[in-house]
Amino acid sequence: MHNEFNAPDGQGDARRIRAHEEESQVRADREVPLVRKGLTDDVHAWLDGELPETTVRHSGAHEAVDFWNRIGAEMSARREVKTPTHVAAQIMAALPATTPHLITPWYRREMVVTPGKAVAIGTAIAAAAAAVTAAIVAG
Amino acid sequence: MKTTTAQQVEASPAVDQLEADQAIISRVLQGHREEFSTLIQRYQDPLYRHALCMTGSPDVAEDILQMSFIKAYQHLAEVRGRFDAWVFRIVANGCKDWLKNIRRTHLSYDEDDQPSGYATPDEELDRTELRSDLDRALAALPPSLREAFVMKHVEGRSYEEMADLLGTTVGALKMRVHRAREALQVLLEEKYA
Repeated sequence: MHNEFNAPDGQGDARRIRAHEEESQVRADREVPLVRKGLTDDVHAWLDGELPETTVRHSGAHEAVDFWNRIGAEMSARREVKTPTHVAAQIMAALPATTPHLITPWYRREMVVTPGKAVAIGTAIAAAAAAVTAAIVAG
Repeated sequence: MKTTTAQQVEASPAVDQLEADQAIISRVLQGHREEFSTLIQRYQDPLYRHALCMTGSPDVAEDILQMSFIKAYQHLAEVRGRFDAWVFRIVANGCKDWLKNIRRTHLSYDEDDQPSGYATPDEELDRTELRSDLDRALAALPPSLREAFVMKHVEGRSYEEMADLLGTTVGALKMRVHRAREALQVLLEEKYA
Protein backbone atom coordinates (compact mmCIF):
# COMPACT_ATOMS: atom_id res chain seq x y z
CA MET A 1 0.00 0.00 0.00
CA HIS A 2 2.71 2.41 1.02
CA ASN A 3 4.68 1.47 -2.06
CA GLU A 4 1.79 2.29 -4.33
CA PHE A 5 1.78 5.87 -3.09
CA ASN A 6 5.41 6.17 -4.02
CA ALA A 7 5.04 4.64 -7.44
CA PRO A 8 7.33 6.29 -9.97
CA ASP A 9 4.69 6.40 -12.70
CA GLY A 10 3.15 9.66 -11.42
CA GLN A 11 -0.06 7.97 -10.42
CA GLY A 12 0.99 7.99 -6.77
CA ASP A 13 -0.45 11.46 -6.16
CA ALA A 14 -3.84 10.55 -7.57
CA ARG A 15 -3.94 7.41 -5.46
CA ARG A 16 -2.84 9.36 -2.43
CA ILE A 17 -5.61 11.93 -2.96
CA ARG A 18 -8.21 9.21 -3.46
CA ALA A 19 -7.04 7.35 -0.37
CA HIS A 20 -7.09 10.59 1.61
CA GLU A 21 -10.67 11.28 0.53
CA GLU A 22 -11.73 7.76 1.52
CA GLU A 23 -9.94 8.12 4.83
CA SER A 24 -11.61 11.48 5.45
CA GLN A 25 -14.98 9.91 4.84
CA VAL A 26 -14.20 7.14 7.31
CA ARG A 27 -12.97 9.73 9.81
CA ALA A 28 -16.16 11.76 9.31
CA ASP A 29 -18.20 8.67 10.11
CA ARG A 30 -16.12 8.12 13.20
CA GLU A 31 -16.89 11.64 14.37
CA VAL A 32 -20.28 10.34 15.49
CA PRO A 33 -19.58 9.49 19.11
CA LEU A 34 -19.76 5.80 19.76
CA VAL A 35 -20.68 6.31 23.39
CA ARG A 36 -23.08 9.18 23.91
CA LYS A 37 -22.82 11.08 27.13
CA GLY A 38 -26.05 10.65 29.07
CA LEU A 39 -27.74 12.95 31.55
CA THR A 40 -25.85 13.40 34.78
CA ASP A 41 -27.21 12.21 38.10
CA ASP A 42 -27.61 15.87 39.10
CA VAL A 43 -29.93 16.52 36.17
CA HIS A 44 -32.02 13.46 36.99
CA ALA A 45 -32.13 14.51 40.65
CA TRP A 46 -33.29 18.00 39.63
CA LEU A 47 -35.96 16.57 37.32
CA ASP A 48 -37.08 14.34 40.19
CA GLY A 49 -37.40 17.41 42.41
CA GLU A 50 -34.51 16.43 44.65
CA LEU A 51 -32.13 19.26 43.72
CA PRO A 52 -32.68 22.96 42.97
CA GLU A 53 -32.01 24.23 39.44
CA THR A 54 -29.19 26.53 40.60
CA THR A 55 -27.20 23.59 41.97
CA VAL A 56 -27.45 21.77 38.67
CA ARG A 57 -26.47 24.90 36.74
CA HIS A 58 -23.43 25.31 39.03
CA SER A 59 -22.41 21.78 38.07
CA GLY A 60 -22.13 22.96 34.46
CA ALA A 61 -25.25 21.34 33.01
CA HIS A 62 -26.66 24.58 31.55
CA GLU A 63 -27.62 23.06 28.21
CA ALA A 64 -29.44 20.13 29.78
CA VAL A 65 -31.29 22.45 32.19
CA ASP A 66 -32.40 24.74 29.34
CA PHE A 67 -33.45 21.77 27.24
CA TRP A 68 -35.51 20.20 30.02
CA ASN A 69 -37.06 23.53 30.98
CA ARG A 70 -38.31 23.77 27.43
CA ILE A 71 -39.67 20.22 27.51
CA GLY A 72 -41.15 20.96 30.94
CA ALA A 73 -43.09 23.93 29.57
CA GLU A 74 -44.64 21.70 26.91
CA MET A 75 -45.44 19.06 29.54
CA SER A 76 -47.14 21.70 31.71
CA ALA A 77 -49.30 22.69 28.75
CA ARG A 78 -50.33 19.05 28.32
CA ARG A 79 -51.25 18.91 32.00
CA GLU A 80 -53.96 21.51 31.28
CA VAL A 81 -55.63 19.43 28.57
CA LYS A 82 -59.28 18.74 29.41
CA THR A 83 -61.54 15.98 28.22
CA PRO A 84 -63.78 17.19 25.37
CA THR A 85 -67.12 18.22 26.86
CA HIS A 86 -69.24 15.70 24.95
CA VAL A 87 -67.36 12.66 26.28
CA ALA A 88 -69.05 12.35 29.68
CA ALA A 89 -72.53 12.41 28.14
CA GLN A 90 -71.40 9.95 25.49
CA ILE A 91 -70.17 7.54 28.15
CA MET A 92 -73.37 7.84 30.18
CA ALA A 93 -75.43 7.14 27.05
CA ALA A 94 -73.33 4.05 26.31
CA LEU A 95 -73.65 2.50 29.79
CA PRO A 96 -75.66 -0.72 30.01
CA ALA A 97 -79.23 -0.23 31.21
CA THR A 98 -78.92 -2.89 33.90
CA THR A 99 -77.62 -2.16 37.37
CA PRO A 100 -74.19 -3.72 37.92
CA HIS A 101 -74.09 -6.55 40.42
CA LEU A 102 -71.42 -8.81 41.76
CA ILE A 103 -71.05 -12.07 39.88
CA THR A 104 -69.28 -14.53 42.16
CA PRO A 105 -67.96 -17.72 40.55
CA TRP A 106 -69.31 -20.93 42.15
CA TYR A 107 -65.93 -21.86 43.63
CA ARG A 108 -65.78 -18.57 45.54
CA ARG A 109 -69.31 -18.70 46.87
CA GLU A 110 -69.83 -19.43 50.53
CA MET A 111 -70.88 -23.03 51.18
CA VAL A 112 -73.10 -23.79 54.15
CA VAL A 113 -73.16 -27.41 55.28
CA THR A 114 -76.13 -28.32 57.46
CA PRO A 115 -76.24 -31.66 59.37
CA GLY A 116 -78.84 -32.96 56.91
CA LYS A 117 -76.62 -32.02 53.91
CA ALA A 118 -73.60 -33.61 55.59
CA VAL A 119 -75.46 -36.90 56.10
CA ALA A 120 -76.72 -36.85 52.48
CA ILE A 121 -73.22 -36.15 51.11
CA GLY A 122 -71.71 -38.89 53.31
CA THR A 123 -74.34 -41.42 52.19
CA ALA A 124 -73.78 -40.52 48.53
CA ILE A 125 -70.01 -40.96 48.86
CA ALA A 126 -70.44 -44.32 50.65
CA ALA A 127 -72.90 -45.52 47.99
CA ALA A 128 -70.56 -44.47 45.18
CA ALA A 129 -67.61 -46.21 46.86
CA ALA A 130 -69.68 -49.39 47.34
CA ALA A 131 -70.77 -49.35 43.69
CA VAL A 132 -67.18 -48.92 42.48
CA THR A 133 -65.96 -51.71 44.81
CA ALA A 134 -68.76 -54.05 43.63
CA ALA A 135 -67.91 -53.32 40.00
CA ILE A 136 -64.22 -54.07 40.58
CA VAL A 137 -64.99 -57.34 42.49
CA ALA A 138 -67.47 -58.46 39.80
CA GLY A 139 -64.96 -57.66 37.02
CA MET B 1 -71.17 21.83 64.34
CA LYS B 2 -67.72 22.84 65.52
CA THR B 3 -66.83 19.21 66.10
CA THR B 4 -67.88 18.31 62.57
CA THR B 5 -65.73 21.09 61.12
CA ALA B 6 -62.75 20.02 63.21
CA GLN B 7 -63.19 16.43 62.10
CA GLN B 8 -63.35 17.55 58.48
CA VAL B 9 -60.14 19.52 58.88
CA GLU B 10 -58.37 16.60 60.56
CA ALA B 11 -59.56 13.99 58.09
CA SER B 12 -57.17 13.20 55.26
CA PRO B 13 -58.43 14.36 51.84
CA ALA B 14 -57.57 10.93 50.40
CA VAL B 15 -59.77 9.21 52.98
CA ASP B 16 -62.57 11.70 52.33
CA GLN B 17 -62.28 11.05 48.63
CA LEU B 18 -62.30 7.29 49.15
CA GLU B 19 -65.40 7.48 51.32
CA ALA B 20 -67.15 9.84 48.91
CA ASP B 21 -66.42 7.50 46.00
CA GLN B 22 -67.63 4.49 47.95
CA ALA B 23 -70.86 6.30 48.82
CA ILE B 24 -71.45 7.04 45.13
CA ILE B 25 -70.65 3.45 44.18
CA SER B 26 -73.18 2.18 46.75
CA ARG B 27 -75.87 4.44 45.30
CA VAL B 28 -75.09 3.30 41.74
CA LEU B 29 -75.30 -0.33 42.86
CA GLN B 30 -78.70 0.45 44.42
CA GLY B 31 -79.93 1.45 40.98
CA HIS B 32 -79.09 5.18 40.81
CA ARG B 33 -77.32 4.86 37.48
CA GLU B 34 -77.08 8.64 36.94
CA GLU B 35 -74.76 8.96 39.97
CA PHE B 36 -72.02 7.32 37.93
CA SER B 37 -71.61 10.60 36.02
CA THR B 38 -70.13 12.12 39.20
CA LEU B 39 -67.32 9.58 39.07
CA ILE B 40 -66.80 10.26 35.36
CA GLN B 41 -66.62 14.02 35.90
CA ARG B 42 -64.27 13.58 38.83
CA TYR B 43 -61.68 11.39 37.11
CA GLN B 44 -62.03 11.81 33.36
CA ASP B 45 -59.40 14.54 32.86
CA PRO B 46 -56.30 12.76 34.24
CA LEU B 47 -57.41 9.54 32.58
CA TYR B 48 -57.98 11.27 29.24
CA ARG B 49 -54.57 12.95 29.46
CA HIS B 50 -52.93 9.62 30.14
CA ALA B 51 -54.66 7.96 27.19
CA LEU B 52 -53.89 10.94 24.94
CA CYS B 53 -50.19 10.96 25.78
CA MET B 54 -49.93 7.20 25.44
CA THR B 55 -51.74 6.93 22.11
CA GLY B 56 -51.13 10.37 20.59
CA SER B 57 -54.68 10.44 19.21
CA PRO B 58 -57.67 12.28 20.73
CA ASP B 59 -60.13 9.93 19.04
CA VAL B 60 -58.42 6.84 20.39
CA ALA B 61 -58.09 8.45 23.83
CA GLU B 62 -61.85 9.12 23.85
CA ASP B 63 -62.59 5.54 22.81
CA ILE B 64 -60.31 4.09 25.48
CA LEU B 65 -61.84 6.38 28.10
CA GLN B 66 -65.37 5.36 27.10
CA MET B 67 -64.58 1.64 27.05
CA SER B 68 -62.81 1.89 30.39
CA PHE B 69 -65.69 3.64 32.14
CA ILE B 70 -68.17 1.15 30.70
CA LYS B 71 -66.01 -1.72 31.96
CA ALA B 72 -65.71 0.02 35.33
CA TYR B 73 -69.51 0.37 35.50
CA GLN B 74 -70.08 -3.29 34.63
CA HIS B 75 -67.66 -4.44 37.33
CA LEU B 76 -68.45 -1.71 39.85
CA ALA B 77 -69.48 -4.22 42.51
CA GLU B 78 -65.95 -5.64 42.46
CA VAL B 79 -64.22 -2.36 43.44
CA ARG B 80 -62.06 -2.81 46.50
CA GLY B 81 -60.12 0.25 47.72
CA ARG B 82 -59.60 3.37 45.61
CA PHE B 83 -61.88 3.74 42.61
CA ASP B 84 -59.49 6.15 40.86
CA ALA B 85 -56.57 3.71 41.08
CA TRP B 86 -58.77 0.87 39.89
CA VAL B 87 -60.12 2.77 36.90
CA PHE B 88 -56.63 4.09 36.10
CA ARG B 89 -55.40 0.50 35.74
CA ILE B 90 -58.27 -0.23 33.34
CA VAL B 91 -57.31 2.79 31.21
CA ALA B 92 -53.58 1.99 31.35
CA ASN B 93 -54.26 -1.59 30.26
CA GLY B 94 -56.54 -0.29 27.50
CA CYS B 95 -53.70 1.91 26.22
CA LYS B 96 -51.20 -0.95 26.34
CA ASP B 97 -53.60 -3.26 24.47
CA TRP B 98 -54.16 -0.61 21.82
CA LEU B 99 -50.43 -0.07 21.40
CA LYS B 100 -49.91 -3.80 21.06
CA ASN B 101 -52.62 -4.31 18.49
CA ILE B 102 -52.88 -1.21 16.39
CA ARG B 103 -50.37 0.60 14.27
CA ARG B 104 -50.87 4.29 14.61
CA THR B 105 -51.78 6.38 11.59
CA HIS B 106 -51.15 9.75 13.16
CA LEU B 107 -49.39 11.00 16.25
CA SER B 108 -50.16 14.66 16.82
CA TYR B 109 -53.31 15.66 18.58
CA ASP B 110 -55.77 18.34 17.64
CA GLU B 111 -54.24 21.77 17.95
CA ASP B 112 -57.62 23.42 18.52
CA ASP B 113 -58.24 21.41 21.66
CA GLN B 114 -55.06 22.62 23.31
CA PRO B 115 -54.74 25.69 25.50
CA SER B 116 -52.36 28.39 24.38
CA GLY B 117 -50.32 30.35 26.89
CA TYR B 118 -47.94 31.85 24.35
CA ALA B 119 -48.04 35.50 23.48
CA THR B 120 -46.61 35.78 19.98
CA PRO B 121 -47.21 33.81 16.77
CA ASP B 122 -43.48 32.91 16.66
CA GLU B 123 -43.64 31.39 20.11
CA GLU B 124 -46.80 29.56 19.12
CA LEU B 125 -45.09 28.22 15.99
CA ASP B 126 -42.04 27.07 17.97
CA ARG B 127 -44.29 25.42 20.47
CA THR B 128 -46.31 23.61 17.79
CA GLU B 129 -43.09 22.29 16.28
CA LEU B 130 -41.79 21.19 19.67
CA ARG B 131 -45.10 19.53 20.42
CA SER B 132 -45.09 17.44 17.27
CA ASP B 133 -41.40 16.57 17.67
CA LEU B 134 -42.07 15.55 21.25
CA ASP B 135 -45.04 13.45 20.14
CA ARG B 136 -42.83 11.66 17.64
CA ALA B 137 -40.09 11.15 20.21
CA LEU B 138 -42.56 9.83 22.79
CA ALA B 139 -44.03 7.48 20.19
CA ALA B 140 -40.54 6.10 19.57
CA LEU B 141 -40.18 5.04 23.20
CA PRO B 142 -41.17 1.54 24.30
CA PRO B 143 -44.64 1.65 25.97
CA SER B 144 -43.32 0.95 29.46
CA LEU B 145 -40.87 3.89 29.28
CA ARG B 146 -43.49 6.17 27.73
CA GLU B 147 -45.99 5.25 30.43
CA ALA B 148 -43.52 5.99 33.22
CA PHE B 149 -42.41 9.30 31.64
CA VAL B 150 -45.99 10.47 31.05
CA MET B 151 -47.06 9.59 34.58
CA LYS B 152 -44.07 11.44 36.04
CA HIS B 153 -43.81 14.49 33.83
CA VAL B 154 -47.29 15.06 32.41
CA GLU B 155 -49.47 13.76 35.22
CA GLY B 156 -47.00 14.94 37.88
CA ARG B 157 -47.31 11.82 40.01
CA SER B 158 -44.80 10.80 42.66
CA TYR B 159 -42.78 7.61 42.23
CA GLU B 160 -44.62 6.11 45.20
CA GLU B 161 -48.02 6.78 43.62
CA MET B 162 -46.82 5.39 40.30
CA ALA B 163 -45.55 2.25 42.01
CA ASP B 164 -48.90 1.85 43.75
CA LEU B 165 -50.85 2.25 40.51
CA LEU B 166 -48.64 0.07 38.34
CA GLY B 167 -47.87 -2.58 40.94
CA THR B 168 -44.11 -2.26 40.63
CA THR B 169 -41.22 -0.85 42.66
CA VAL B 170 -40.07 2.75 42.98
CA GLY B 171 -36.57 1.69 41.84
CA ALA B 172 -37.86 0.09 38.67
CA LEU B 173 -39.94 3.16 37.85
CA LYS B 174 -37.03 5.54 38.47
CA MET B 175 -34.99 3.45 36.08
CA ARG B 176 -37.75 3.62 33.43
CA VAL B 177 -38.13 7.39 33.79
CA HIS B 178 -34.36 7.90 33.62
CA ARG B 179 -34.09 5.75 30.51
CA ALA B 180 -36.99 7.61 28.91
CA ARG B 181 -35.28 10.95 29.61
CA GLU B 182 -32.00 9.73 28.16
CA ALA B 183 -33.80 8.50 25.05
CA LEU B 184 -35.76 11.74 24.61
CA GLN B 185 -32.60 13.79 25.09
CA VAL B 186 -30.89 11.78 22.35
CA LEU B 187 -33.89 12.11 20.02
CA LEU B 188 -34.44 15.84 20.54
CA GLU B 189 -31.14 17.39 21.58
CA GLU B 190 -29.82 17.97 18.07
CA LYS B 191 -32.70 20.33 17.34
CA TYR B 192 -33.49 21.79 20.73
CA ALA B 193 -30.45 21.51 23.03
